[in-house]
Amino acid sequence: MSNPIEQRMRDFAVGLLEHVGCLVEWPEHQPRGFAVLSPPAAAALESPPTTELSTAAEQNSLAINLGSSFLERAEGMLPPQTSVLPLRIDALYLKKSALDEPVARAFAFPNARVRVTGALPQRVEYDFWHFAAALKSDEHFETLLEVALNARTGAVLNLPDPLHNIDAHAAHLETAAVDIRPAVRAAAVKLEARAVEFIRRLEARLARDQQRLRSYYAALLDDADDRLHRTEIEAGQRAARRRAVQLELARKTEELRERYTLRPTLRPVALVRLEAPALAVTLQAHRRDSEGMISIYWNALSKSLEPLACGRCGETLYCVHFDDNFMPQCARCAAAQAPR
Amino acid sequence: MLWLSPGASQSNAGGDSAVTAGGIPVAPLAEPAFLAAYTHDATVLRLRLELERLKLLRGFDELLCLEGLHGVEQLPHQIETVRKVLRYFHGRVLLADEVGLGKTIEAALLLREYLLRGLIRRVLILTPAPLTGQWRDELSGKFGLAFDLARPSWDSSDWSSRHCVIASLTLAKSRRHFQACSAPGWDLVVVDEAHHCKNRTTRNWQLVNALKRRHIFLLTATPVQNNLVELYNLLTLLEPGHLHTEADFKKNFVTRGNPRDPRNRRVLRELLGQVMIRNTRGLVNLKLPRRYAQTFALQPGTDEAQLYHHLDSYLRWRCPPLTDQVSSDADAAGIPDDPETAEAVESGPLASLAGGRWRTANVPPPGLFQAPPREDAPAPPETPEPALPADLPWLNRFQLNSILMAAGSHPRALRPMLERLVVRDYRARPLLELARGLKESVKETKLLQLLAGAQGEKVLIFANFRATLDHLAGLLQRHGITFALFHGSQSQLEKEMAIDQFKHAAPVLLCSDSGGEGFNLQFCNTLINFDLPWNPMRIEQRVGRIHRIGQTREVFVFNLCTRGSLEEKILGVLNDKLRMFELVVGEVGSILGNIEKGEEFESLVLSLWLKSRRHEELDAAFENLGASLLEAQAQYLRTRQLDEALFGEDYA
Repeated sequence: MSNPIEQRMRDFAVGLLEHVGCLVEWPEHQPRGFAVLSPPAAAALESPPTTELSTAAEQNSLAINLGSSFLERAEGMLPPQTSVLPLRIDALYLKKSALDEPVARAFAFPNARVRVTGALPQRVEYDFWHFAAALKSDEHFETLLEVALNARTGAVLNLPDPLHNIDAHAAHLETAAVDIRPAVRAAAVKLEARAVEFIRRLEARLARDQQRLRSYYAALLDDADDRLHRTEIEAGQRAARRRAVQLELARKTEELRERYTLRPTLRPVALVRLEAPALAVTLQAHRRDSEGMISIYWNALSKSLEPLACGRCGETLYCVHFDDNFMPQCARCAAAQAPR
Repeated sequence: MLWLSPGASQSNAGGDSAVTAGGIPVAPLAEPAFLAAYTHDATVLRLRLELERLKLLRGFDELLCLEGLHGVEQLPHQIETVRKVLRYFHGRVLLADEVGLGKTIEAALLLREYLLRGLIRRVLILTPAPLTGQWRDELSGKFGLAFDLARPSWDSSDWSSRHCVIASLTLAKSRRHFQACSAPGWDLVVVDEAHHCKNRTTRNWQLVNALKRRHIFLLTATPVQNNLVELYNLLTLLEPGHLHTEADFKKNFVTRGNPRDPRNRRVLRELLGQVMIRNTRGLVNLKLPRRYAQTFALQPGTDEAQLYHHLDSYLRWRCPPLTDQVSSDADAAGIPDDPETAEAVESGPLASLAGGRWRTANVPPPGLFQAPPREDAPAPPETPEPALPADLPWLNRFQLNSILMAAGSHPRALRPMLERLVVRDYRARPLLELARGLKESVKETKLLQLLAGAQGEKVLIFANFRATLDHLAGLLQRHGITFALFHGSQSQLEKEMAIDQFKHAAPVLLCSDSGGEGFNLQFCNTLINFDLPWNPMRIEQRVGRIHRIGQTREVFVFNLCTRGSLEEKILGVLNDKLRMFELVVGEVGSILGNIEKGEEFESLVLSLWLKSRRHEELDAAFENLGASLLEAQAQYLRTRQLDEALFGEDYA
């Protein structure tokens, strides 16, 4: 078996079947294997209890390839809801030196004076979301998106995959309710960035189709004009016919826009909620005559200060504006809030 | 952000919904439902995520075929076509793009995608004989796919044991191979120039129909050549019953009394749209500036002329007799056309054949090293040629081809080959001495003149042989002309540096045939063919380096050849008769494809040379070749007109 996709299909099939209690014998890099299926697995796969497994479509064997129905049937063997896995990392190194300078280097506070008053170790929850994202239009675009964020601040972070962190272990966490909205916002931003080429291609096609419609109906108008000139038709009637062609063009153009309309969807596939040690840095902010306290976090996984999130639009911030209640805001939201 | 906040990005006239920069409306993103299923087993998550990734792979959203290509310019319409075929056509499609838009690339991308995903294993590509080598070279060089070329000597076990095969239609449908080719199952069959299968009563159609296959791609720019029933026949190969019975088809879609005129066009268009994709130049907005070509047939100096004349005589003396019957079938003649088998011949059937002939002692054949005859001199009386000595093998086709092409390139390219000949046969030494004594070729002088007249324009110079390139490098150096050098044995970095130097500093790029692919050279609009590949498709590839999307200026091609050479005759056919350099990119392939029977073009040229012992015979042979090409061109033009009228731009 030389094909990497065949190898992946084999690995997935073996992993899944063993997970649901089947016995599988399928050596690596071999095109065929053998399985004794548990009754639910046999039912889900519509297969006899003992079956040969093969990456090719062969008689009397369960075809494990992208062209077969194996993936649909495999879906029925996994929980249909979003799988949520709570993990914990017990101990991580936390920065001990003063944080005044790092904070000053990382953040800007254009409308407040801010100083660091202290830093305390805390346990913080981070959410690692996996979304199946799609854009449906005349063509479809589908992708998997990963979003990591601080569950408290909602700030989007760039963190390593916790499933590959050997220090993380499963745990029962006293978790706060999961808020999907900040993750959806972040996933939407990622989707837009990832689909740039797809959208560009659709735009080119739409422009081409619109141009074709315009040319066709322009030719139709010219043709109609020619014929109407030859027949003796009143000017009013002639104008009505022109209007009819133009209306038809408008209708077709609208149909085209409808056909090309982008319809985004996001489906949360999995969530890892990771509790890890972090350093909560307390900041004292002075703005006008008032004073407020805010917290930022030094992340022990990325070994850097985390950004904040705009309290209004969710945008990730290192340049933080405050409103009168010391809620962090991005420049745009702050400008929108400012009295005219 | 487009998806979340209507109007946040760019509003339409109503101001209530978002649109992309290119004017596509965007529906707002609904907040997804979130139902949690808690687990403490990371395996569940890993399996769930891998399942989603595998589903994506199957959805063809991420094309695997685009990674690891070499020198393939991926045009948007080609990628769009690949996605469409994968997603909607389920591996059965008639690719009917206009010529030059890259049907072959689309098919190769699809083929690669299917192979990489493990969806297919056994692939058969059927193509007209002149295009088999082109397919093999492109698939191997650009797409990293190794295919075997079917041989006349194959038996049924060869057909069934090899997984990726390219065969000429002529070979596959022959009585000897029809059964063997159609017996094993194929996962994918690709039929290039599929209009050769337009007629149900032909063996071409019957062969493709008999092939057991899961997927099939039919490739043709001209699906209808004479009447609409041909289209019906093609689509029946693709999806039998898609257009119901022939009688139904005629009744519903063909105007009575005019078999070329379709009726119920809208319904027919819808039906065709389900199995056929046709990109046109208008649709993909591909408009290239014109190109012009000028050929310089240069009179060689006395020594140069003597070298060519004596080489011609010597090679004819060293080549086996050739009959019409075997000329198009190297295998049947026992003449290998690849270097690996050349050695085997020396102790094989040719050796025993040579042993039965009359032999002379070590005496050069009469007239071998005499002065060449004047052009106006009467033909010398026929004298029997002495046979080869027993210890001297005949030269095989590959060797003859290489030596003749080197001679057409430059004496420097010829020298190493003559040195190898001299090792086996001292009679070739005078040829070597002649080649060594030549200080300058007439083409060099012309090249320098052309460069002097370039007036600051960038000039791309192509040469077939590395020795020629090195010699030209020395020549340009001596004349103080700055240049960059690009050839296939350079590292990627060296190549990039050469292109960069050509773009920014050097007015000249010396380039081998393997060079330049995948790089943008459209900033240059002048090309000099210092020598000429015998295969028109390779000439087209050379011109295609600068005459491609992104070229805004007219393109000028200069061809250099010596008078009386084979290259002059090839150019006479391709340029004077076919007007090849004025054709639209890709049309040469379609025209050659219309010559269904026969050999690849360069093999054909060699056969003509082998068969013609005298200049007049060779001229007449090339005259005939030109006539065949003109007929193929006329046929292509007729069908192109009909197809344009029939399909317009309706099937993108």
